[in-house]
Formats: sequence, C-alpha cells, structure tokens
Amino acid sequence: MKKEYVILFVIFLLTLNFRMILSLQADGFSSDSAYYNLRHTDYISENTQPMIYDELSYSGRYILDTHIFHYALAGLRAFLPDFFIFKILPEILFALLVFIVYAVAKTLTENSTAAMLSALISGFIPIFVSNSVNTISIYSIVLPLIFYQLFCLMNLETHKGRFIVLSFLLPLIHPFTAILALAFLFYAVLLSIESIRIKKQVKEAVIFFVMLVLLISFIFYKKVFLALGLNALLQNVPSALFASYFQGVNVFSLIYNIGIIPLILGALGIIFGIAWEKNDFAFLLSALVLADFALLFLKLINFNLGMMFLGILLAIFSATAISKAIKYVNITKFARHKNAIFVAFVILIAATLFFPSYSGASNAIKAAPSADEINALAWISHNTPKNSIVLGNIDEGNLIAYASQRKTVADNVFMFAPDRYDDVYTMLTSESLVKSTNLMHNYGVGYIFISEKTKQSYNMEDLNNADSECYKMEHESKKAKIYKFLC
Amino acid sequence: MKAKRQKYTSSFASILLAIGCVFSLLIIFLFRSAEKLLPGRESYFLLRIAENPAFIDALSFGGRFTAYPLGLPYLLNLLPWALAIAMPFVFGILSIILFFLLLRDFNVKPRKTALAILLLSPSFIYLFNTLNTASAALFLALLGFWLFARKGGIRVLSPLVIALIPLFDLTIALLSMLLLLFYVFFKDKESKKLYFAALALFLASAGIYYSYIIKNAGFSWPMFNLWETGFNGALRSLLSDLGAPYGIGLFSLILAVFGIIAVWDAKYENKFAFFSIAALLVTSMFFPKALFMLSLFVAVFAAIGFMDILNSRWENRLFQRFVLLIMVCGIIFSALSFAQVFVNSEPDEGIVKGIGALSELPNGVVFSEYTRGHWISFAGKPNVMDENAYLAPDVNERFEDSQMLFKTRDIEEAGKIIKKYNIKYIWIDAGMKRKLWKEDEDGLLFLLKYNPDLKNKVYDVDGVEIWEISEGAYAGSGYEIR
Repeated sequence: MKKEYVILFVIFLLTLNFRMILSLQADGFSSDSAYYNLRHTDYISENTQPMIYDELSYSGRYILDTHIFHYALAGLRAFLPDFFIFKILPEILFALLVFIVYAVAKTLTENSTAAMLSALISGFIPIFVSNSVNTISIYSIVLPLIFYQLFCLMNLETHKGRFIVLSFLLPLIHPFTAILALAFLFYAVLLSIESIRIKKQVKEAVIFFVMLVLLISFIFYKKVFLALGLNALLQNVPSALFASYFQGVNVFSLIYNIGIIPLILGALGIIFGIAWEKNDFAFLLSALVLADFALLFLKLINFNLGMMFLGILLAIFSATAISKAIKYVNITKFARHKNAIFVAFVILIAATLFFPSYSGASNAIKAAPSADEINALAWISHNTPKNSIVLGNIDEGNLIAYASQRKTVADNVFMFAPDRYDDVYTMLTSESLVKSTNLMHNYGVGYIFISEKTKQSYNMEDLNNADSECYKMEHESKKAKIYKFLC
Repeated sequence: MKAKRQKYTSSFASILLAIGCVFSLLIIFLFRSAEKLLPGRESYFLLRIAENPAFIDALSFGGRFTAYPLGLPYLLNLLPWALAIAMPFVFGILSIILFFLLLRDFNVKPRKTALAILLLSPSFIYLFNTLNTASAALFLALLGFWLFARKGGIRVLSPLVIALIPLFDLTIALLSMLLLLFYVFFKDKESKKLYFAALALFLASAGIYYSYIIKNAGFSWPMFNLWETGFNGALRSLLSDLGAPYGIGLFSLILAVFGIIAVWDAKYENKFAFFSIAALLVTSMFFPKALFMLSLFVAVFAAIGFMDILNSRWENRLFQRFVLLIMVCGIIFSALSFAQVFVNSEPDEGIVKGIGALSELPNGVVFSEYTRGHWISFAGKPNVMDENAYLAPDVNERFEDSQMLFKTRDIEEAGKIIKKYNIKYIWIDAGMKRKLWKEDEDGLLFLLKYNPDLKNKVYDVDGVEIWEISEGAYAGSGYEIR
C-alpha cells in the first residue's frame, strides 16, 4: 500500500477517534434534530412506512421529508446494533470526509502532501466539529456525497456512472443539494467572464444535474413551492428567528469558528487558483464558495451549516496554497529543513484547530440532555395522560416528543408548521400571568418542561409566576423541572 | 420505405396531438364534479352578467355602473349556461388551429412540438377550461393576426376583428396592438397602412366604449395590491410551479431560454419575437393576463430549444437523452400539477352549497372578502366589494373598511361599518379563515362568536358560515340596519 494512503488512513483514524472520544462522553445527542431522526427511524422500523402525519410535533402536523435517510438507518438496524448506528456511524460518515477532501484537493493540486494536509485541516474545522459531533444528522451523508459528486465532476471521464447515480440520489436525500446546482451555474458564469471555454462534457453534465435537481425538488416539494413560491427556500423559518440570523457574527468569530489556518490558506488558495493559475477546478470550487455565500447572504441556509460548508471548502483550497509553499520551499535554502517545517506546520494546525475544535465540541457535548432531563421526560411519559401537551424550549421539541411520547407545542422543524415561535417565548418568559396562561390555554398546554437549556436559551431562572396557583410543581431534579398547568 | 415511415409517424403525431388537444380542453369537464363545474370566480361573474347584460350592475359594490367589457356576456346571452361550458372549448379549438396556421405562415419549424408544449401549458389549460374574457379576446387576437398576415384581400377584415377585442378584454386588446406594432415595424413594414387602419378602428371602438364607461362610472383605481408583489410575488404570478393561478411551466420557460440561445445568432431576424417576449414579460408583472400571450411565444421557443437539444451533437449521448427526458417529464409534471390544483380549486362543494343557501335568504347586502364578491352576487345578493376593482365606486375606502371590519374586536367600530354599507349578512368560509385570521377568535371572528348583536349564524355547512345581523339586536346599539 502506498505510504500516502497509510498516512491518510491515520488522519482518518485520528479524526474518527477525536470525534468518538467526544461523542461517547454523552448518553444523549447534542442536537434536537437527532431526536427527530430517531423518532422517524423508529417509526419506519415499526411500520415500514414513513410518518406522514406526526401526531406529537406541534400537537399534530404534516411532515415534509423524503425519509431516504430514515429508511437507510432503519434498514441498517436489521444488521447492526442501535448503538453503532446512532452513535458511531454518524461519526464514521463525517470522518470519511477526509478521504473525499483528500481526493478533491489532490485533483486540484496534484500534490499528495498538500492534499493530505488539507484533509487533516478539514477533519478539525472547529465549527464543523462542534456542529456535527454527537448528532444523528442527515448531513453526515449529504456533505460527503456532495463533495464526492464534486470529485466525480472533476473526473468525469472515469466517474461518469457515479456522477449520474449521485445526481439522482442527492436531491432525493436532501434539498441542500441545490447548493451544487447553484454552484454549477456560478461556475458557468465565472468561466464565461474569464472567457474560458467550459469542457463540453462538463457542460453537459452540469445541465443534466441542474435540470434533474430542479425536477426532483419540484416533484417532492411541490406543495411547498405552490404555497410559498420562492419563499419555500426559507423553510418557513419564523420571522423572529430569521431576524436573529447573523447576530453576533464578526471577523473574530469567523476566525475562531473556521480557524485562522484554513481561513488564510484558503483565501490564498482561491487567489492562486483563480487569478494566477486560472485553474478550471479552482473556478468550480470558487463557484461553490460563491453559492454558499449567496445562500448565507440571502439567509436561505442555516448559518452554522453554511459555515461548516465554507470551512471544508477553505480546507480544500488550502491545498493550493500549501502546494505553492512546498514548491517554493523546495527551490530555496530551506529545502533541507522541509521535514522540520512540515512538523511545525502540523503543530500549528494542532494549536489553531485542534484546541478550538475540542473546546467547541465539549460545549456541544455539554448541551446534550442530561440524565436528569431525560428522567424528567420519562416521568412525563409514565405519569401524565397520553393526550397531554407539553410546553418546552422550541429547540427541545423533538427531544420532548421522543422521550416523553407526548404532544408538543412547537419544535424547530418549521416547514408546514404554524408560527408559534413568539408565543412559546411569551409563555415561558412573560411576567403577565394572564398573557401566558391565555396562550397556554389556547394551545391546550398540560405540562411545562424546564431544562437547563431552556433556562439558557430564554435567559430565565424559572417560570415567572411559578408560585401562582396556575402552576403546580410535579417533578423536580437538579437539572429539570416539570410543572402542571392548572388554570 | 423511409418516407412512408416518416409519413406514418407524422400522421400518428397529428392524431396524438388532436387527442391531446381535446383532452387538454376538457380537463375540467372530465374531472370536476357537475355540481361545481365552473372553477374560479370570474366565470360566476360572467354567467351572472350574461343572463341580463346591462349598463347598471345592481349587485357589484352594492350597485354600480357596469365598468367592464360586455362583449362576452352579450355573446353568452342566448344560452348562458350551455355556452358558458361550450364556449371555452370552441375558442380553444379555434385558437389552436389559428396558432398552428400562424406558425406555418411564419415558417416556424417544430410546429407540432410547439403545439404539444402549448397544450401542456398551465396558462393554456386555464384559459380554455373556464369561462373568462381573455379566451375570447385571445381567439380574436389570433384571428386578427392571422388575417393581418394573409396576402389576399381577406386581410382587410383584420382591422375589424382587432377593433372587437376591446369589447372583450382591454389588456389583451392593448397587447395585441403592441405586438402588431412590433410585427409591422420589424417584420412587415409594407403593412403600415393596414396597421394604421387597425389602430384607428381600435381607438374608435375602445375610445367610445371606455369613454362612455369612465364618464358614467368615474375614474377610480385600486390603491391596494390585488395580487402578491415583490420579487417572490412576480415569480409567483409568472410560474405555475410557484403557485401562479395561470402561469407558465418552469421547464417550458427553461427550454424557451435554450431556444432563445439557439437562435441568438440570428437575433436580428427575430427582433419581433424578442421585443414581444420582453414586452409581455414586463407587462405580465403588472397585468397577469399578459401571460396568456407570453405562453404562445414560450411554446414556440421551447420547441426550438427542445429540437436544438435533440439535434445538436453532444459529447455524451446519455446526458443528452437524460436532459430531454427531464424536460419532457418537467413539462408534463407542471401540466399535471397545475391540472390537479385547478380541478380542485375553489369553489368547492361547500361554497357552491353556500351560494345556493345564500340565494334563498331574504335580500340584503353581504359582507365578505372581496375575492368572494362574485359568488355573493351570483347568489343574487349585493356585495360590499368584489374583484372588479377598477373604476369601482369608493373602491379604496371600501377596501380599508373591509380590512378594518376583519380585524376589529370593537363592536362600535364594527357597527359603524356595518351601518355604512347596510350589511345584512356576513359570509365566512374556510379559505378566508386561513387567509385572514391566525386564531379562531381574532378580529371579526371574536365579535361573531361572543357579541349578542352579531352571533346569529343562519348557515353553517361544509366550512361556509353565513351570519345574519338582526335589526332588533341593533336597535339598542345606537345604529340601525336597513
């Protein structure tokens, strides 16, 4: 086996171990969407068909999802234990990205050392690690597949079949694939601005992919497009939440979240690739960066997802700058110290990426529901009427539905859901008992679940009128409280 | 042998097109139940007017001068119900024939493909499946154009036909004159005299008819948006896949872009088409009826785009076949998706029953959202306002008052508006509830539920509620109902 593949495998193991060590520290999952995926996978495992109408979410609502991911997870359950599927597999899938980043970076630079360093960087992008560790996320297959599709386009002569298969598969899995279609359009524009002729076969592949994504998206999300038009892309995110996007984003947070190394090297890589080399692949990757920026600017994608994607792209672009640096060092007197320089660079990566990643991921692990909180929700499932409605943090709606098996007022899957974002905030934080109880009465709230995360998210210690006769404490532990609503 | 096979294929395609044409024009007839055969709202308005065409409409806006084209109502007057169902079909068949003849005259090559794309176009399906003024106007426009493009003496009839269009639909009429101007300017400069003759007759007919209307009705313009605005609104009125009531299919539009790119090298020979498309595209953002004319051009260029993809040399044949397949699937999907929405569009059985129930109640003004106005007047009751908002009396004041009444929980405020328009009934249906209120007790719904002066529901079936405002209840409230 080639030495570079061994090193690459070591990078993969390093990334995987880093993620596993963090992930196994928590019993629960760090994101609420994990519980959404768990519930739907459970449902498919039991009924072999997807949950079209969710009786618990928003006290009953229709779900818009292709459920390919949930079917895949449910299928794997036939052969593998749940612990492996839900705890280990997502980490493996995310870690697999290093191979794909390596492949893309190598195609871009034709330099295996630069590609390997790029792969190493991609495994430890702070925002990527902290948002992907300890989750059951559809992005664990979407992101690797998107970058693999990109690799297939870059090597269309040899990967045509895979490109076609993925073109069908990707839009079926998740609408985020549209970013590739948008990027391909930007790619065509960028090349035409630079008067570079796009390869005929690539042009044909791009037309095919863009049209297919459009067709599949319009077939699957027909109802949403008909109801909301282009606003469907905003995924019905409540206006109050929408307005809060990008709040607190500044240069320092960008440096911290993406890491100074990929940020600087990635930016240099873009300049080298586009302005100096006029590399076709650099244009393709720049088009992806542009598409990501466009979607972020228009607030059409979640900030964290956009930044994760950008981080990986910059890691790939870093290979161009590293490759240039290697070539430069080789023709200078420093060439004899290149091993020392290499080690120093790896240490620099560790210092600037590893520690912020660890710190971010540790916070994410802490955000996973504690045993107290899970027990409190289990208490609800054993001690409350089956049709009771539980009010809680909107970012724990899926957790509440999963662990308590009770109806919720709201969660963060907004598509086809009524806008209750402000009302949940009012119910949990209002000083006016009349106001909050009126709303609770409207939504038929029976129980209120207050977790540590609720307290942090809503900046509260407890319900404002907890001592009023409208609320009765039914369960209390160190990290969770359950009130019964009596009025 | 090859020639014979080609002839056989061509004949087969023609038969398929003919079947497709009939099917496309009978979608509503085949799939919508007999009780609610007329979809939409305009058809109910036209049918009502057709039964008794006159210059005074006693039901719209509580009574107004008939400030709308009466061409179609007069045409329907002989047998309103039968013609209301048959006429769109007849206009559809005739328009298709004229469109085909025009394509032949202009030597457009993929004629059958263009025709097939047009038949699958949501705007075409809408236009000729329901009673509306634009179907007759578009037929006349095509006829006028076809006569204009003739060589013989028959072309002198075209100014006469064009002069009739304003009596059916002013938007289509103005656009027809604009397109004819482009045609004369870019394609057939020798027909200037005929164009001026057409223009003179057009101005005479439109001028006399609309001056008379404006003189009697007064000039008022709605200052509120009758349809969604902004970028999303513009796209939503253009593309049926994004929810346009009679838009263009996304994939037809994409193919049309391919078609335009394909003929771009000969752009100076296609100035007529390009200028027409640009004008129609811009106009359709303000007057969605322009989409009916735009869809004709889109069909032609989409067909050119399709043939270009089919005939050009692709490095990878697999991608080429897939792209063609995707385009065909996309066009069919847009058509099916639109047809499904159209067949299930309002009014539903509940609303039709509600219209019947309303017609049996004693006379009185009915308040509802303006989009329900035509149904209310179809039931023989005066409405506070409807969608014929142009040149309507106090249209903006009525709109503001309506919005106030929907939102208010104050009985005094509501009472003033009720008295102002002599409202006797309030019509509320499920669609209105979704559109106007968030909760069951918002605004007017709260008053209807709890106020003893208002809570007199006389009808509540299948999502339609009719509330009667009792005179006795208002006697002590400081205002009275006549």
